[in-house]
Amino acid sequence: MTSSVERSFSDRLLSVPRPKAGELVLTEELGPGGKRIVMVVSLLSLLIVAYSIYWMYGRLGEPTRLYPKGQYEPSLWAPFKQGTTWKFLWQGAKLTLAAAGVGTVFAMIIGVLMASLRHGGQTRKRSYALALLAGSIALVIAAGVLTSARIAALVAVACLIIGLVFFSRQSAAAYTEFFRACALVTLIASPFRFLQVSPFWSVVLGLTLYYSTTIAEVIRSALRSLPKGQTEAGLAVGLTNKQTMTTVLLPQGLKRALPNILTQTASLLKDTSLGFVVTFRDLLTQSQGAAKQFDNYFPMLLVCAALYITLIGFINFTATRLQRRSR
Amino acid sequence: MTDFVSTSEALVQICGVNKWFGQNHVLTDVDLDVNRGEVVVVIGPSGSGKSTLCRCINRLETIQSGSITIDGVPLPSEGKDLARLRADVGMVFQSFNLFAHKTILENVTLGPIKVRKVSKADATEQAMGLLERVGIAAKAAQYPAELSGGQQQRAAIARALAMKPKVMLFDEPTSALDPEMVNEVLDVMLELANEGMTMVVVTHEMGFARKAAKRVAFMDGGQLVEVASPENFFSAPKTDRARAFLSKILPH
Repeated sequence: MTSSVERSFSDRLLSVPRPKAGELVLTEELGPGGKRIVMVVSLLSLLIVAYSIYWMYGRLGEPTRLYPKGQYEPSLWAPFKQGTTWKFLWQGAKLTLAAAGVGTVFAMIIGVLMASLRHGGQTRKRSYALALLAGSIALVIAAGVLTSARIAALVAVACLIIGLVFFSRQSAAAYTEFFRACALVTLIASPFRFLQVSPFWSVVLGLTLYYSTTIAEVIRSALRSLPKGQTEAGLAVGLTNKQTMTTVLLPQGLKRALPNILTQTASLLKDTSLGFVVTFRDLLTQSQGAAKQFDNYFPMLLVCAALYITLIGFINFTATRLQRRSR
Repeated sequence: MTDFVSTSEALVQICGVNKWFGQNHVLTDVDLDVNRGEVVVVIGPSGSGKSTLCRCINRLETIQSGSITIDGVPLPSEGKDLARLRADVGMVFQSFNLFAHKTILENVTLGPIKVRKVSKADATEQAMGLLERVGIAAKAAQYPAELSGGQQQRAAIARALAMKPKVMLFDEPTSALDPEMVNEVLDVMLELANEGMTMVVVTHEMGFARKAAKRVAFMDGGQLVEVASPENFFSAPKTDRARAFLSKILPH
Protein backbone atom coordinates (compact mmCIF):
# COMPACT_ATOMS: atom_id res chain seq x y z
CA MET A 1 0.00 0.00 0.00
CA THR A 2 2.89 2.37 0.74
CA SER A 3 4.07 2.26 -2.84
CA SER A 4 0.83 3.82 -4.05
CA VAL A 5 1.31 6.73 -1.65
CA GLU A 6 4.86 7.47 -2.70
CA ARG A 7 4.17 7.84 -6.38
CA SER A 8 6.38 10.21 -8.31
CA PHE A 9 5.04 13.41 -9.83
CA SER A 10 5.21 12.01 -13.35
CA ASP A 11 3.36 8.88 -12.24
CA ARG A 12 0.51 10.92 -10.88
CA LEU A 13 0.46 13.13 -13.97
CA LEU A 14 0.22 10.21 -16.34
CA SER A 15 -1.95 7.81 -14.38
CA VAL A 16 -4.97 6.57 -16.27
CA PRO A 17 -8.21 6.93 -14.33
CA ARG A 18 -9.42 3.54 -13.16
CA PRO A 19 -12.30 2.49 -15.43
CA LYS A 20 -15.73 2.08 -13.90
CA ALA A 21 -17.35 -1.33 -14.07
CA GLY A 22 -18.56 -2.11 -17.55
CA GLU A 23 -16.80 0.85 -19.10
CA LEU A 24 -15.01 0.18 -22.36
CA VAL A 25 -11.33 0.99 -22.06
CA LEU A 26 -9.30 1.59 -25.19
CA THR A 27 -6.18 2.88 -23.46
CA GLU A 28 -4.12 0.47 -21.47
CA GLU A 29 -2.27 1.67 -18.45
CA LEU A 30 1.18 2.75 -19.64
CA GLY A 31 4.35 0.84 -18.94
CA PRO A 32 7.61 2.62 -18.00
CA GLY A 33 8.70 3.04 -21.65
CA GLY A 34 5.35 4.42 -22.71
CA LYS A 35 5.34 6.84 -19.79
CA ARG A 36 8.72 8.20 -20.79
CA ILE A 37 7.56 8.74 -24.38
CA VAL A 38 4.33 10.44 -23.32
CA MET A 39 6.24 12.67 -20.90
CA VAL A 40 8.76 13.81 -23.53
CA VAL A 41 6.12 14.39 -26.21
CA SER A 42 3.88 16.28 -23.78
CA LEU A 43 6.71 18.58 -22.70
CA LEU A 44 7.74 19.20 -26.30
CA SER A 45 4.23 20.10 -27.40
CA LEU A 46 3.79 22.31 -24.36
CA LEU A 47 6.95 24.18 -25.36
CA ILE A 48 5.75 24.54 -28.96
CA VAL A 49 2.35 25.85 -27.89
CA ALA A 50 3.87 28.25 -25.37
CA TYR A 51 6.32 29.61 -27.92
CA SER A 52 3.56 30.02 -30.55
CA ILE A 53 1.47 32.06 -28.16
CA TYR A 54 4.47 34.15 -27.18
CA TRP A 55 5.32 34.74 -30.85
CA MET A 56 1.75 35.66 -31.80
CA TYR A 57 1.46 37.97 -28.84
CA GLY A 58 4.63 39.79 -29.88
CA ARG A 59 3.66 39.86 -33.55
CA LEU A 60 0.28 41.47 -32.84
CA GLY A 61 1.99 44.25 -30.88
CA GLU A 62 4.26 45.13 -33.80
CA PRO A 63 3.33 48.18 -35.85
CA THR A 64 1.92 47.62 -39.34
CA ARG A 65 1.14 50.01 -42.19
CA LEU A 66 -2.53 50.26 -41.27
CA TYR A 67 -2.06 50.07 -37.49
CA PRO A 68 1.18 51.94 -36.64
CA LYS A 69 0.74 51.30 -32.93
CA GLY A 70 -0.04 47.58 -33.17
CA GLN A 71 -3.20 45.77 -32.13
CA TYR A 72 -2.91 46.56 -28.43
CA GLU A 73 -3.58 50.26 -29.01
CA PRO A 74 -6.24 51.05 -26.32
CA SER A 75 -8.40 52.99 -28.76
CA LEU A 76 -8.98 49.77 -30.74
CA TRP A 77 -10.43 48.07 -27.65
CA ALA A 78 -12.26 51.09 -26.26
CA PRO A 79 -15.53 50.32 -28.11
CA PHE A 80 -15.96 47.23 -25.95
CA LYS A 81 -16.28 49.46 -22.91
CA GLN A 82 -19.44 50.99 -24.37
CA GLY A 83 -22.79 49.33 -23.81
CA THR A 84 -23.99 50.38 -27.28
CA THR A 85 -21.36 48.18 -28.97
CA TRP A 86 -22.54 45.14 -27.08
CA LYS A 87 -26.15 46.03 -27.76
CA PHE A 88 -25.33 46.22 -31.45
CA LEU A 89 -23.62 42.82 -31.35
CA TRP A 90 -26.46 41.35 -29.30
CA GLN A 91 -28.94 42.34 -32.02
CA GLY A 92 -26.90 40.23 -34.42
CA ALA A 93 -26.52 37.38 -31.92
CA LYS A 94 -30.30 37.32 -31.42
CA LEU A 95 -30.91 36.89 -35.14
CA THR A 96 -28.17 34.26 -35.34
CA LEU A 97 -29.75 32.32 -32.49
CA ALA A 98 -33.27 32.71 -33.89
CA ALA A 99 -32.31 31.55 -37.40
CA ALA A 100 -30.23 28.68 -36.01
CA GLY A 101 -32.99 27.67 -33.59
CA VAL A 102 -35.79 27.65 -36.15
CA GLY A 103 -33.49 26.04 -38.73
CA THR A 104 -32.48 23.28 -36.30
CA VAL A 105 -36.10 22.46 -35.45
CA PHE A 106 -37.14 22.28 -39.10
CA ALA A 107 -34.00 20.39 -40.13
CA MET A 108 -34.57 17.86 -37.34
CA ILE A 109 -38.21 17.27 -38.28
CA ILE A 110 -37.45 16.81 -41.98
CA GLY A 111 -34.24 14.93 -41.21
CA VAL A 112 -36.01 12.37 -39.01
CA LEU A 113 -38.75 11.98 -41.62
CA MET A 114 -36.32 11.47 -44.50
CA ALA A 115 -34.12 9.07 -42.53
CA SER A 116 -37.13 6.96 -41.48
CA LEU A 117 -38.56 6.86 -44.97
CA ARG A 118 -35.24 6.05 -46.59
CA HIS A 119 -34.49 3.35 -44.02
CA GLY A 120 -37.88 1.71 -43.73
CA GLY A 121 -40.15 3.18 -46.38
CA GLN A 122 -41.67 1.23 -49.19
CA THR A 123 -39.77 0.85 -52.38
CA ARG A 124 -41.22 0.32 -55.80
CA LYS A 125 -40.04 -0.32 -59.33
CA ARG A 126 -37.06 1.82 -60.20
CA SER A 127 -38.42 2.66 -63.63
CA TYR A 128 -41.64 4.09 -62.18
CA ALA A 129 -39.66 6.20 -59.70
CA LEU A 130 -37.43 7.53 -62.47
CA ALA A 131 -40.48 8.31 -64.59
CA LEU A 132 -42.00 10.26 -61.72
CA LEU A 133 -38.71 12.09 -61.18
CA ALA A 134 -38.41 13.03 -64.86
CA GLY A 135 -42.06 14.09 -64.95
CA SER A 136 -41.61 16.22 -61.85
CA ILE A 137 -38.53 17.97 -63.23
CA ALA A 138 -40.32 18.69 -66.53
CA LEU A 139 -43.37 19.98 -64.68
CA VAL A 140 -41.30 22.26 -62.43
CA ILE A 141 -39.35 23.68 -65.38
CA ALA A 142 -42.56 24.22 -67.32
CA ALA A 143 -44.13 25.98 -64.33
CA GLY A 144 -41.03 28.14 -63.98
CA VAL A 145 -41.01 29.15 -67.64
CA LEU A 146 -44.74 29.65 -68.07
CA THR A 147 -45.66 31.18 -64.73
CA SER A 148 -43.54 32.41 -61.83
CA ALA A 149 -40.72 31.02 -59.72
CA ARG A 150 -43.06 30.88 -56.73
CA ILE A 151 -45.51 28.61 -58.52
CA ALA A 152 -42.62 26.46 -59.73
CA ALA A 153 -41.46 26.08 -56.13
CA LEU A 154 -44.98 25.09 -55.04
CA VAL A 155 -45.14 22.52 -57.85
CA ALA A 156 -41.77 21.14 -56.72
CA VAL A 157 -43.01 20.79 -53.15
CA ALA A 158 -46.20 19.10 -54.36
CA CYS A 159 -44.19 16.65 -56.51
CA LEU A 160 -41.94 15.86 -53.56
CA ILE A 161 -44.92 15.14 -51.31
CA ILE A 162 -46.54 12.90 -53.93
CA GLY A 163 -43.22 11.14 -54.36
CA LEU A 164 -42.80 10.65 -50.62
CA VAL A 165 -46.26 9.13 -50.35
CA PHE A 166 -45.95 6.66 -53.20
CA PHE A 167 -42.19 6.08 -53.50
CA SER A 168 -41.05 6.81 -49.95
CA ARG A 169 -37.62 5.31 -50.08
CA GLN A 170 -36.58 6.54 -53.49
CA SER A 171 -38.00 10.04 -52.98
CA ALA A 172 -36.30 10.44 -49.61
CA ALA A 173 -33.04 9.29 -51.21
CA ALA A 174 -33.48 11.75 -54.10
CA TYR A 175 -34.22 14.62 -51.72
CA THR A 176 -31.25 13.81 -49.52
CA GLU A 177 -28.75 13.29 -52.31
CA PHE A 178 -29.88 16.42 -54.17
CA PHE A 179 -29.83 18.96 -51.36
CA ARG A 180 -26.71 17.50 -49.79
CA ALA A 181 -24.92 18.15 -53.05
CA CYS A 182 -26.11 21.79 -53.27
CA ALA A 183 -23.86 24.58 -52.03
CA LEU A 184 -25.34 26.08 -48.89
CA VAL A 185 -24.82 29.64 -50.17
CA THR A 186 -26.93 28.83 -53.24
CA LEU A 187 -29.69 27.39 -51.10
CA ILE A 188 -29.73 30.53 -48.95
CA ALA A 189 -29.52 32.95 -51.85
CA SER A 190 -32.11 31.30 -54.12
CA PRO A 191 -35.25 31.93 -52.04
CA PHE A 192 -34.19 35.55 -51.58
CA ARG A 193 -33.42 36.12 -55.23
CA PHE A 194 -36.13 34.14 -56.95
CA LEU A 195 -38.99 33.89 -54.48
CA GLN A 196 -38.73 37.29 -52.78
CA VAL A 197 -38.48 35.64 -49.37
CA SER A 198 -37.25 37.83 -46.48
CA PRO A 199 -33.56 37.54 -45.47
CA PHE A 200 -34.39 35.76 -42.23
CA TRP A 201 -36.59 33.11 -43.84
CA SER A 202 -34.17 32.69 -46.74
CA VAL A 203 -31.45 31.81 -44.25
CA VAL A 204 -33.80 29.47 -42.37
CA LEU A 205 -34.96 27.82 -45.60
CA GLY A 206 -31.42 27.33 -46.89
CA LEU A 207 -30.16 25.93 -43.60
CA THR A 208 -33.20 23.66 -43.31
CA LEU A 209 -32.83 22.21 -46.80
CA TYR A 210 -29.12 21.56 -46.39
CA TYR A 211 -28.94 20.42 -42.78
CA SER A 212 -32.05 18.24 -43.00
CA THR A 213 -30.02 16.08 -45.41
CA THR A 214 -26.92 15.83 -43.25
CA ILE A 215 -29.04 15.13 -40.17
CA ALA A 216 -31.02 12.56 -42.16
CA GLU A 217 -27.82 10.76 -43.11
CA VAL A 218 -26.53 10.83 -39.54
CA ILE A 219 -29.79 9.34 -38.27
CA ARG A 220 -29.96 6.80 -41.08
CA SER A 221 -26.50 5.50 -40.27
CA ALA A 222 -27.55 5.21 -36.62
CA LEU A 223 -30.65 3.27 -37.65
CA ARG A 224 -28.53 0.96 -39.78
CA SER A 225 -26.24 0.32 -36.83
CA LEU A 226 -29.11 -1.15 -34.76
CA PRO A 227 -29.28 -4.96 -34.63
CA LYS A 228 -31.66 -6.38 -37.23
CA GLY A 229 -33.33 -8.36 -34.45
CA GLN A 230 -34.88 -5.18 -33.07
CA THR A 231 -36.87 -4.69 -36.27
CA GLU A 232 -37.80 -8.37 -36.43
CA ALA A 233 -38.95 -8.40 -32.82
CA GLY A 234 -41.11 -5.34 -33.43
CA LEU A 235 -42.70 -6.88 -36.50
CA ALA A 236 -43.13 -10.26 -34.79
CA VAL A 237 -45.08 -8.63 -31.96
CA GLY A 238 -47.49 -7.33 -34.58
CA LEU A 239 -46.35 -3.74 -34.92
CA THR A 240 -46.72 -2.24 -38.39
CA ASN A 241 -43.64 -0.98 -40.20
CA LYS A 242 -44.46 2.56 -39.15
CA GLN A 243 -44.98 1.57 -35.50
CA THR A 244 -41.73 -0.41 -35.49
CA MET A 245 -39.95 2.68 -36.76
CA THR A 246 -41.48 5.10 -34.27
CA THR A 247 -41.53 2.97 -31.14
CA VAL A 248 -38.52 0.66 -31.54
CA LEU A 249 -35.99 2.00 -34.03
CA LEU A 250 -36.15 5.81 -33.80
CA PRO A 251 -35.86 6.07 -29.99
CA GLN A 252 -32.71 3.96 -30.07
CA GLY A 253 -31.37 5.46 -33.28
CA LEU A 254 -31.78 9.08 -32.16
CA LYS A 255 -29.92 8.31 -28.96
CA ARG A 256 -27.02 6.87 -30.94
CA ALA A 257 -27.10 9.74 -33.42
CA LEU A 258 -27.20 12.51 -30.81
CA PRO A 259 -23.46 13.32 -30.69
CA ASN A 260 -23.35 13.64 -34.47
CA ILE A 261 -26.57 15.65 -34.55
CA LEU A 262 -24.97 18.08 -32.08
CA THR A 263 -22.00 18.46 -34.40
CA GLN A 264 -24.39 19.31 -37.22
CA THR A 265 -26.25 21.79 -35.01
CA ALA A 266 -23.05 23.59 -34.07
CA SER A 267 -22.09 23.70 -37.73
CA LEU A 268 -25.55 25.02 -38.61
CA LEU A 269 -25.20 27.82 -36.10
CA LYS A 270 -21.89 28.92 -37.58
CA ASP A 271 -23.31 28.74 -41.10
CA THR A 272 -25.93 31.38 -40.29
CA SER A 273 -23.04 33.74 -41.05
CA LEU A 274 -23.49 32.88 -44.75
CA GLY A 275 -26.64 35.00 -44.44
CA PHE A 276 -24.51 37.99 -45.47
CA VAL A 277 -25.30 37.08 -49.10
CA VAL A 278 -28.95 37.99 -48.48
CA THR A 279 -28.24 41.02 -46.25
CA PHE A 280 -29.10 39.02 -43.14
CA ARG A 281 -27.80 41.03 -40.16
CA ASP A 282 -26.45 38.18 -38.06
CA LEU A 283 -23.70 38.33 -35.45
CA LEU A 284 -20.82 38.29 -37.93
CA THR A 285 -22.39 40.90 -40.24
CA GLN A 286 -23.10 43.17 -37.28
CA SER A 287 -19.59 42.78 -35.93
CA GLN A 288 -18.09 43.63 -39.31
CA GLY A 289 -20.35 46.66 -39.53
CA ALA A 290 -19.12 47.81 -36.15
CA ALA A 291 -15.51 47.05 -37.04
CA LYS A 292 -15.79 49.24 -40.13
CA GLN A 293 -16.94 52.12 -37.95
CA PHE A 294 -14.31 51.72 -35.22
CA ASP A 295 -11.58 50.49 -37.59
CA ASN A 296 -10.78 47.60 -35.22
CA TYR A 297 -11.21 44.50 -37.41
CA PHE A 298 -8.93 42.23 -35.44
CA PRO A 299 -10.30 42.90 -31.93
CA MET A 300 -13.82 42.65 -33.29
CA LEU A 301 -13.16 39.30 -34.96
CA LEU A 302 -11.54 38.00 -31.80
CA VAL A 303 -14.56 38.98 -29.69
CA CYS A 304 -16.88 37.56 -32.32
CA ALA A 305 -15.04 34.21 -32.28
CA ALA A 306 -15.33 34.14 -28.51
CA LEU A 307 -19.08 34.79 -28.79
CA TYR A 308 -19.56 31.97 -31.32
CA ILE A 309 -17.59 29.59 -29.13
CA THR A 310 -19.69 30.60 -26.13
CA LEU A 311 -22.96 30.06 -28.01
CA ILE A 312 -21.93 26.60 -29.25
CA GLY A 313 -20.51 25.69 -25.86
CA PHE A 314 -23.84 26.65 -24.33
CA ILE A 315 -25.74 24.44 -26.80
CA ASN A 316 -23.45 21.47 -26.14
CA PHE A 317 -23.68 21.97 -22.40
CA THR A 318 -27.48 22.04 -22.44
CA ALA A 319 -27.71 19.05 -24.75
CA THR A 320 -25.37 16.98 -22.62
CA ARG A 321 -27.37 17.85 -19.53
CA LEU A 322 -30.61 16.92 -21.27
CA GLN A 323 -29.17 13.63 -22.45
CA ARG A 324 -27.92 12.75 -19.01
CA ARG A 325 -31.29 13.51 -17.46
CA SER A 326 -33.17 11.44 -20.04
CA ARG A 327 -31.16 8.35 -19.14
CA MET B 1 -54.00 -18.46 -18.93
CA THR B 2 -56.83 -19.07 -21.35
CA ASP B 3 -57.55 -22.66 -22.25
CA PHE B 4 -56.32 -23.76 -25.64
CA VAL B 5 -59.01 -25.70 -27.38
CA SER B 6 -57.67 -29.04 -28.44
CA THR B 7 -59.05 -30.31 -31.70
CA SER B 8 -57.18 -32.18 -34.37
CA GLU B 9 -57.72 -29.49 -37.01
CA ALA B 10 -54.53 -28.08 -38.59
CA LEU B 11 -53.68 -24.63 -37.28
CA VAL B 12 -50.57 -24.11 -39.37
CA GLN B 13 -50.55 -25.61 -42.85
CA ILE B 14 -47.31 -25.54 -44.80
CA CYS B 15 -47.84 -26.77 -48.33
CA GLY B 16 -45.23 -27.32 -51.05
CA VAL B 17 -43.01 -24.49 -49.84
CA ASN B 18 -39.88 -23.57 -51.80
CA LYS B 19 -37.41 -20.86 -50.97
CA TRP B 20 -34.20 -19.68 -52.52
CA PHE B 21 -31.53 -17.33 -51.17
CA GLY B 22 -30.13 -16.30 -54.55
CA GLN B 23 -28.93 -19.54 -56.15
CA ASN B 24 -29.16 -21.40 -52.86
CA HIS B 25 -32.24 -23.61 -52.64
CA VAL B 26 -32.87 -23.49 -48.87
CA LEU B 27 -36.35 -25.03 -48.69
CA THR B 28 -37.47 -27.76 -51.10
CA ASP B 29 -41.13 -28.80 -51.29
CA VAL B 30 -41.75 -28.65 -47.58
CA ASP B 31 -45.14 -29.94 -46.39
CA LEU B 32 -46.02 -29.83 -42.71
CA ASP B 33 -49.25 -29.46 -40.76
CA VAL B 34 -49.27 -28.38 -37.14
CA ASN B 35 -52.50 -29.21 -35.36
CA ARG B 36 -54.12 -27.16 -32.66
CA GLY B 37 -52.50 -27.78 -29.30
CA GLU B 38 -49.70 -29.78 -30.86
CA VAL B 39 -45.98 -29.32 -30.21
CA VAL B 40 -43.81 -29.97 -33.26
CA VAL B 41 -40.06 -29.95 -32.70
CA VAL B 42 -37.93 -29.32 -35.78
CA ILE B 43 -34.44 -30.72 -35.64
CA GLY B 44 -31.62 -31.15 -38.11
CA PRO B 45 -28.02 -30.21 -38.82
CA SER B 46 -26.90 -26.57 -39.17
CA GLY B 47 -27.92 -25.06 -42.48
CA SER B 48 -30.72 -27.55 -43.02
CA GLY B 49 -33.29 -24.76 -43.33
CA LYS B 50 -35.12 -25.32 -40.05
CA SER B 51 -34.70 -21.74 -38.82
CA THR B 52 -35.69 -20.42 -42.22
CA LEU B 53 -38.83 -22.56 -42.18
CA CYS B 54 -39.70 -21.20 -38.74
CA ARG B 55 -39.19 -17.61 -39.89
CA CYS B 56 -41.33 -18.22 -42.97
CA ILE B 57 -44.34 -19.05 -40.81
CA ASN B 58 -44.72 -15.41 -39.73
CA ARG B 59 -43.27 -14.12 -42.97
CA LEU B 60 -40.04 -12.70 -41.58
CA GLU B 61 -38.77 -14.59 -44.62
CA THR B 62 -40.75 -14.69 -47.84
CA ILE B 63 -41.31 -17.86 -49.83
CA GLN B 64 -41.08 -18.20 -53.58
CA SER B 65 -43.67 -20.91 -54.08
CA GLY B 66 -46.15 -22.99 -52.09
CA SER B 67 -48.50 -21.73 -49.44
CA ILE B 68 -48.63 -21.23 -45.70
CA THR B 69 -51.97 -20.78 -43.96
CA ILE B 70 -52.60 -20.06 -40.32
CA ASP B 71 -56.01 -20.89 -38.89
CA GLY B 72 -57.32 -21.27 -42.42
CA VAL B 73 -56.06 -17.85 -43.56
CA PRO B 74 -53.22 -17.64 -46.10
CA LEU B 75 -50.33 -15.41 -44.99
CA PRO B 76 -51.09 -11.85 -46.12
CA SER B 77 -48.24 -10.34 -48.11
CA GLU B 78 -48.09 -6.84 -46.62
CA GLY B 79 -49.57 -4.03 -44.59
CA LYS B 80 -52.03 -4.09 -41.70
CA ASP B 81 -53.25 -7.62 -42.47
CA LEU B 82 -49.76 -9.01 -42.15
CA ALA B 83 -49.20 -7.12 -38.88
CA ARG B 84 -52.49 -8.50 -37.56
CA LEU B 85 -51.47 -12.03 -38.44
CA ARG B 86 -48.07 -11.63 -36.81
CA ALA B 87 -49.81 -10.43 -33.65
CA ASP B 88 -51.46 -13.87 -33.47
CA VAL B 89 -48.17 -15.69 -33.93
CA GLY B 90 -45.75 -15.44 -31.04
CA MET B 91 -42.07 -15.60 -31.88
CA VAL B 92 -39.06 -16.25 -29.66
CA PHE B 93 -35.64 -15.60 -31.18
CA GLN B 94 -32.26 -17.17 -30.63
CA SER B 95 -30.78 -13.81 -29.59
CA PHE B 96 -33.81 -12.73 -27.48
CA ASN B 97 -34.17 -9.38 -29.32
CA LEU B 98 -35.76 -7.61 -26.39
CA PHE B 99 -36.28 -3.90 -27.07
CA ALA B 100 -33.07 -2.53 -25.61
CA HIS B 101 -34.43 0.92 -24.70
CA LYS B 102 -37.46 -0.37 -22.78
CA THR B 103 -37.74 -2.01 -19.39
CA ILE B 104 -38.77 -5.66 -19.14
CA LEU B 105 -42.31 -4.60 -18.20
CA GLU B 106 -42.50 -2.17 -21.13
CA ASN B 107 -41.23 -4.90 -23.43
CA VAL B 108 -44.16 -7.08 -22.44
CA THR B 109 -46.82 -4.36 -22.49
CA LEU B 110 -45.76 -2.72 -25.75
CA GLY B 111 -47.57 -5.17 -28.03
CA PRO B 112 -50.87 -5.28 -26.13
CA ILE B 113 -50.98 -1.48 -25.84
CA LYS B 114 -49.92 -0.60 -29.39
CA VAL B 115 -51.44 -3.50 -31.31
CA ARG B 116 -54.33 -4.81 -29.22
CA LYS B 117 -55.21 -1.33 -27.88
CA VAL B 118 -55.43 -2.65 -24.32
CA SER B 119 -55.38 0.03 -21.61
CA LYS B 120 -52.05 0.58 -19.90
CA ALA B 121 -53.36 -0.56 -16.53
CA ASP B 122 -54.78 -3.81 -17.91
CA ALA B 123 -51.66 -4.49 -19.95
CA THR B 124 -49.45 -3.93 -16.90
CA GLU B 125 -51.55 -6.25 -14.78
CA GLN B 126 -51.46 -8.98 -17.40
CA ALA B 127 -47.73 -8.46 -17.97
CA MET B 128 -46.94 -8.76 -14.27
CA GLY B 129 -48.91 -12.01 -14.20
CA LEU B 130 -46.88 -13.37 -17.11
CA LEU B 131 -43.58 -12.22 -15.63
CA GLU B 132 -44.60 -13.92 -12.40
CA ARG B 133 -45.25 -17.07 -14.34
CA VAL B 134 -41.85 -17.11 -16.03
CA GLY B 135 -40.26 -16.22 -12.70
CA ILE B 136 -38.82 -12.76 -13.35
CA ALA B 137 -41.43 -10.43 -11.86
CA ALA B 138 -38.71 -8.94 -9.66
CA LYS B 139 -36.87 -7.75 -12.77
CA ALA B 140 -39.85 -5.89 -14.27
CA ALA B 141 -38.35 -2.42 -13.86
CA GLN B 142 -34.91 -3.35 -15.19
CA TYR B 143 -33.50 -3.03 -18.69
CA PRO B 144 -32.71 -6.10 -20.82
CA ALA B 145 -28.94 -5.54 -20.63
CA GLU B 146 -29.12 -5.91 -16.84
CA LEU B 147 -30.53 -9.46 -17.06
CA SER B 148 -28.84 -12.79 -17.66
CA GLY B 149 -29.45 -14.57 -20.94
CA GLY B 150 -31.88 -17.02 -19.41
CA GLN B 151 -33.86 -14.22 -17.80
CA GLN B 152 -33.91 -12.27 -21.06
CA GLN B 153 -35.21 -15.29 -22.94
CA ARG B 154 -37.94 -15.85 -20.37
CA ALA B 155 -38.88 -12.17 -20.70
CA ALA B 156 -39.03 -12.67 -24.47
CA ILE B 157 -41.39 -15.61 -23.98
CA ALA B 158 -43.58 -13.45 -21.72
CA ARG B 159 -43.56 -10.73 -24.38
CA ALA B 160 -44.78 -13.19 -27.00
CA LEU B 161 -47.43 -14.67 -24.66
CA ALA B 162 -48.78 -11.20 -23.85
CA MET B 163 -50.28 -11.09 -27.33
CA LYS B 164 -52.34 -14.22 -26.55
CA PRO B 165 -51.00 -15.92 -29.67
CA LYS B 166 -52.63 -18.85 -31.44
CA VAL B 167 -49.26 -20.46 -32.05
CA MET B 168 -45.77 -19.89 -30.68
CA LEU B 169 -42.63 -20.17 -32.80
CA PHE B 170 -39.31 -20.83 -31.07
CA ASP B 171 -36.24 -20.27 -33.23
CA GLU B 172 -33.39 -22.03 -31.37
CA PRO B 173 -34.38 -20.39 -28.07
CA THR B 174 -31.57 -21.92 -26.03
CA SER B 175 -28.69 -21.85 -28.52
CA ALA B 176 -27.29 -18.54 -27.29
CA LEU B 177 -27.51 -19.43 -23.60
CA ASP B 178 -24.88 -20.50 -21.12
CA PRO B 179 -25.41 -24.18 -20.26
CA GLU B 180 -26.66 -23.52 -16.74
CA MET B 181 -29.44 -21.28 -18.08
CA VAL B 182 -30.81 -23.65 -20.68
CA ASN B 183 -33.07 -25.52 -18.29
CA GLU B 184 -34.82 -22.49 -16.81
CA VAL B 185 -35.98 -21.61 -20.35
CA LEU B 186 -36.85 -25.19 -21.29
CA ASP B 187 -38.90 -25.52 -18.10
CA VAL B 188 -41.02 -22.53 -19.08
CA MET B 189 -41.50 -23.98 -22.55
CA LEU B 190 -42.38 -27.40 -21.18
CA GLU B 191 -44.97 -25.86 -18.90
CA LEU B 192 -46.41 -24.01 -21.89
CA ALA B 193 -46.56 -27.22 -23.90
CA ASN B 194 -48.36 -29.01 -21.09
CA GLU B 195 -50.97 -26.28 -21.00
CA GLY B 196 -51.83 -27.07 -24.60
CA MET B 197 -50.14 -24.22 -26.44
CA THR B 198 -49.56 -24.91 -30.13
CA MET B 199 -45.82 -24.70 -30.64
CA VAL B 200 -43.23 -25.02 -33.39
CA VAL B 201 -39.82 -25.38 -31.81
CA VAL B 202 -36.53 -25.35 -33.69
CA THR B 203 -33.93 -26.68 -31.31
CA HIS B 204 -30.86 -28.80 -30.70
CA GLU B 205 -32.20 -29.93 -27.32
CA MET B 206 -33.06 -33.58 -27.89
CA GLY B 207 -34.17 -33.97 -24.28
CA PHE B 208 -36.83 -31.33 -24.84
CA ALA B 209 -37.90 -33.02 -28.08
CA ARG B 210 -38.38 -36.33 -26.24
CA LYS B 211 -40.30 -34.79 -23.38
CA ALA B 212 -42.47 -32.17 -25.04
CA ALA B 213 -42.87 -33.01 -28.70
CA LYS B 214 -45.96 -34.67 -30.08
CA ARG B 215 -44.09 -35.03 -33.35
CA VAL B 216 -40.49 -34.54 -34.38
CA ALA B 217 -39.75 -33.13 -37.82
CA PHE B 218 -36.28 -33.88 -39.14
CA MET B 219 -34.86 -31.56 -41.80
CA ASP B 220 -31.73 -31.94 -43.88
CA GLY B 221 -30.54 -29.96 -46.90
CA GLY B 222 -33.73 -27.92 -47.09
CA GLN B 223 -36.00 -30.96 -47.18
CA LEU B 224 -38.32 -32.32 -44.58
CA VAL B 225 -36.91 -35.81 -44.43
CA GLU B 226 -38.93 -37.49 -41.72
CA VAL B 227 -41.84 -36.68 -39.42
CA ALA B 228 -42.54 -39.09 -36.57
CA SER B 229 -43.44 -39.35 -32.92
CA PRO B 230 -40.39 -38.81 -30.68
CA GLU B 231 -40.39 -42.45 -29.50
CA ASN B 232 -40.32 -43.77 -33.05
CA PHE B 233 -37.91 -41.17 -34.31
CA PHE B 234 -35.27 -41.57 -31.64
CA SER B 235 -35.47 -45.34 -31.29
CA ALA B 236 -36.18 -46.36 -34.88
CA PRO B 237 -35.50 -43.63 -37.42
CA LYS B 238 -36.74 -44.67 -40.86
CA THR B 239 -34.32 -42.79 -43.07
CA ASP B 240 -30.56 -43.12 -43.40
CA ARG B 241 -30.05 -39.38 -43.07
CA ALA B 242 -31.90 -39.29 -39.74
CA ARG B 243 -29.90 -42.29 -38.53
CA ALA B 244 -26.64 -40.60 -39.50
CA PHE B 245 -27.67 -37.40 -37.74
CA LEU B 246 -28.74 -39.19 -34.58
CA SER B 247 -25.60 -41.27 -34.42
CA LYS B 248 -23.58 -38.06 -34.33
CA ILE B 249 -25.47 -36.35 -31.54
CA LEU B 250 -26.76 -39.07 -29.26
CA PRO B 251 -24.55 -40.48 -26.52
CA HIS B 252 -23.43 -44.08 -27.18
